[in-house]
Parts: sequence; C-alpha cells; structure tokens
Amino acid sequence: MRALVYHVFLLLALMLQPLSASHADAPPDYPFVSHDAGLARAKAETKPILLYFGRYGCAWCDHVNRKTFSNPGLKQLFSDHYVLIYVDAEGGKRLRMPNGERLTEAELGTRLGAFATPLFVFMTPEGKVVAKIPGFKTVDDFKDYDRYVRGGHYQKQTLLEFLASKP
Amino acid sequence: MSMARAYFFSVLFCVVLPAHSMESVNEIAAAKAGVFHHLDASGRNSLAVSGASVALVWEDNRSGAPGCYLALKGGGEIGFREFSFGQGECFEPAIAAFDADRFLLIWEDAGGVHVAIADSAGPGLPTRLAESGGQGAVIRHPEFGAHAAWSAPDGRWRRVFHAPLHGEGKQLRTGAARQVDTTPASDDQTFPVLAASAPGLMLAWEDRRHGHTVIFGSSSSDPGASTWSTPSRISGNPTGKQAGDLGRGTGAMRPALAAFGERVAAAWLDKRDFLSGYDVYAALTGKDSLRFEKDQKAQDSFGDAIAQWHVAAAGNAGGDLVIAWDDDRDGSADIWLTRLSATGASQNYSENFTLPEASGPGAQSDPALALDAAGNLHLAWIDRDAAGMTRLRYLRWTLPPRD
Repeated sequence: MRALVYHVFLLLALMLQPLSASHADAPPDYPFVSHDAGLARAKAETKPILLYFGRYGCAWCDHVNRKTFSNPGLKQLFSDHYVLIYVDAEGGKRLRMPNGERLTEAELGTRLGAFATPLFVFMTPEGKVVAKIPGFKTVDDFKDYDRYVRGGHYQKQTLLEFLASKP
Repeated sequence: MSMARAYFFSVLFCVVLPAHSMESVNEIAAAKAGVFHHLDASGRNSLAVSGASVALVWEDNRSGAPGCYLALKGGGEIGFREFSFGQGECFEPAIAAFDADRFLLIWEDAGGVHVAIADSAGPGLPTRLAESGGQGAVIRHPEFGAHAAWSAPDGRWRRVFHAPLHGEGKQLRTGAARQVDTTPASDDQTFPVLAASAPGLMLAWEDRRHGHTVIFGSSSSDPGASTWSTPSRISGNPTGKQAGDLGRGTGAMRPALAAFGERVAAAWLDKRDFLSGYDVYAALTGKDSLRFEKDQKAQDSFGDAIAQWHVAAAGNAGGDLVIAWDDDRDGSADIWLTRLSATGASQNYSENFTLPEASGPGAQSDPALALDAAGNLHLAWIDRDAAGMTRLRYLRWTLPPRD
C-alpha cells in the first residue's frame, strides 16, 4: 500500500512539474511540460505526444510561435488532445527515454537528427516517433498532422504519402 | 563511409604513411543488451594520457542505474583494467593527466560534485567540491597547478565555479570555490572546460546572457587562479534579431579546449548557418597570449550540408592540434578529424579525414581524444551497431609529420 501511495505521489509530482521558465522558448499559454513528465502523462492518459524541439533564441521558433501557435483553435486542439513536451535543443538537462536510457536534451537532438529548429516530433502515447517535421509550419499544416496522427494513418502511410493523398 | 572513400584512405595509410602505424584497437566496454555507454564529459575530456598510462572514463547503466567507470592501461600493458567510482547514480565523468602515470577525475553523483586522484590501483578517496551541480572539468599544469571547474545552480541561474586542487598523497584537498564571473547573473552558464598553457589557465563555457547560447571564456595567469579576467566572447555566432524582429541569435554549444605548444584552441558546435545543423568552429589564442583570435570554420566544405556533433580537441607540447567530431556525410556516423597545419594559421586546417577503424558500417560517434608528447593520437569512441547496441573502442595512431 505504501509503495502504491509513493508511486501515485511520484506520478502526480511528475505530471504537475512545470516547464522550467528559464530555458523555455515554447509558445506562451500552452500547457507544455518537461520531457519525463510528458511521457508519463501520455502513457497514463493514452494521448499522443507533440514534442517541440526548440532552441533558445531561435528566430524560426519565434516566427512559428507568433504566426501559428497564436491561433486559438490550434491551441484548443493541442491542449485538449495531446500531451505537449518542450525540449531545449542545447540544454543539458537529463531525460529518460522510453527504453530507460538517460540522455541530455542536446543528445536527444543528435538521436533525432535535428539539423534545424523548430523540430516537431509526433509520438504515440508509448513514446514511439511517428513523424518528425522541421521548420516553420502553418495552422493548416498542423491540422493535417493532427489528422495523420490521431486518425492513425501513420500505421499505414508515411506522412508524405498521407499528405499526397489528401483530397 | 563509402567503399570508395574507405579504399582511398586504406591505400593512403598503407602506401603513403607506412611509418605511422595504428596500434590494434581495444574494446574497452563490450556491447550488452539494455546497456548504454556514454562519453559525455564536459569538453569531451573523457580520455587522458599521463606518462606511459592511458585512461578513459565513461558512464553506463550496467548495474541498472547510471554509474561511472575508469579504464586504465599502464605502459607495457596490453589491455585496460576497469574500476568503478561514484556514489549512487553517477554522470558525466571527466579526466585529465595529473602527474607521472596518475590522473585527476571529476564527476557528478548522488552526493554532489567530486574529484579524486586515480593511479594504477584505481581511483582514490573522493573529495567533494559542491553539494549540487555537474558538468565538471579538471586540468593540471606544472606551473599553475591543478584546478577544477563545474556548473551549479545559484539561485535562478546556473553559474560556473572554479576551485584549485592540491594533492596530498592519493587524496585531493580543495581551495576556495568561487564564481569565475563576478558580475550578477542574468542567465545560465554551463559546460565549463579548462586548459593550461605557458601564459596561464583558460576557462570556456556556454553562456546565455545575450538570450542565445554563446561561447564565453576567461583566463587567469596567477598561480592559484584566484582572479579571472572579465569574461569575453570566443564564438562569433551573431547576436541580434533577424528580419521581422524574430529570435535573439544563433546557437553555439559544447566548447572543447586544448593546449598546443604555448597556445590554446577552442572548438565548438556552431549554428550560425542554421539550416544545415551545427558546424565545427574553432578559435586559437595568439602565441604566448590568452586572447583568442577570430574564429574560423574547422571542418571542410564536404561537411557543410549536414550536421556535425560531439566536437573534441587535443593538443600537445610539440604544437600538434587535432579536432574531431562525428557526422554522417558518408551515409552513417563516422569519426572525422582535422589537423592544424605546421604554420598554425587559423585557416590552415587539413582536409577532413577518417581512420579505418573509426568509420564504416554502423555508427562511430562521440570521440574523446588525447595527444601524447611523442605525437601519438589516442582516440576512444562509441561504436553503435544496427540494433542500437553500443560498445567503447580505443586506438592509438601515430600522427604523420605536419604539412
């Protein structure tokens, strides 16, 4: 019983852990959380993950935040249906991967092949990567990505195939 | 690496450089399912040569949690002997030569930031530098003594701290720990790295005071390093908003330092060309100076279109300087190297090259380097197979004469 209480407390603590303000260039007013808290929450709530891989001071992150993430509909969509994780591309904070490996934020960028920021990584609730999308994207682009992910199309098609088949 | 390129370099090494031999490659840590090896010391100082001994430090999770390990090979020994160190979870161990066949270690563990001396019998008793923090670096110079630097939280921001170290038998005693930058913090300072040359000590780190990540440095030329110069910028990645009032500047991260001859080189990953990942940039101090000259790209143009990662640097008293990193320009990650020419001019980095044992099938990444006084390059790296299993490998290669 004590172990159960401990684990529930730990999970709650992780889920309530806010994103460190000193490192963030995440879009304002979105419920972004840290990596490990986000993975735990996604699994618990069976929600897909949008991982925003941004760089401190990044101009194109600033651009997509102002032009795209400022859209109220998009904010509602991502806040309601996704667990949102922000990772600092040059950060030294340690993350715990789904396979148990401990990596720094910057090392995650190496593994993801993050050549540019922002990089948007969509993942299943279990943390499996289903799409990696670099650079500036519009509201409509993100709505397409949402249909690809929550519609389960990633199980049969690549993102490019899905977008090409769009009516 | 492509077959054609591998063949070209094989022929080059066999025919053109017959006198510059490669020692057989050692496997320092074997692959095992679920075990992840990390060579991630600040400044990539995971490998050092002291006298006739070579030592490597790393972190892996073989015990079920991250732990720190030391592999040590004495002169005349064929293989490495392994030791563990650290209390509880242990991260980012770094190493430097101390005195004849002894080494300085620094690491972060459950008890804080620690240093120790290691000799042929393994690590000695640890000495605690700080209750929290990490990203430690150590250095020792015959005139300026031994020193440690690390990054630790101090209120809202992380700051770089320094402390002198004194050996007493096989244990270290620390002098007063001080912040290197005495101005009030306005953002994070992280990943410090130390070097020492005839003019004094050099310390470099990542600094976010301008709202993006820049490489800063400070120097000290008094023996106890009780005073440090006003921090100044080493990397030339521009600060400022882009068109449309966007952003605050491009990034530069993970500095490495190496003393060579009487000079110091700084190398880092730089994103001023932000569409093709990080590039390898370097800056050199002038002769007998602790001031860095203008930085230059150290990689060749064949790496421009792709990202470089994990830059490391090594030099020796004879003036050799080698910079290494990994990139996948030939289809999978290989260890790439460049070398400063004999003239020492910043622009004179060699065409990038690989070594056959550290390139080819699979992924070869995360280089750690040391150069001994005789001109031997010591290289350790992570070898990752198609299934994602990792192992640590090491080789020694005799540098050919400089151009």
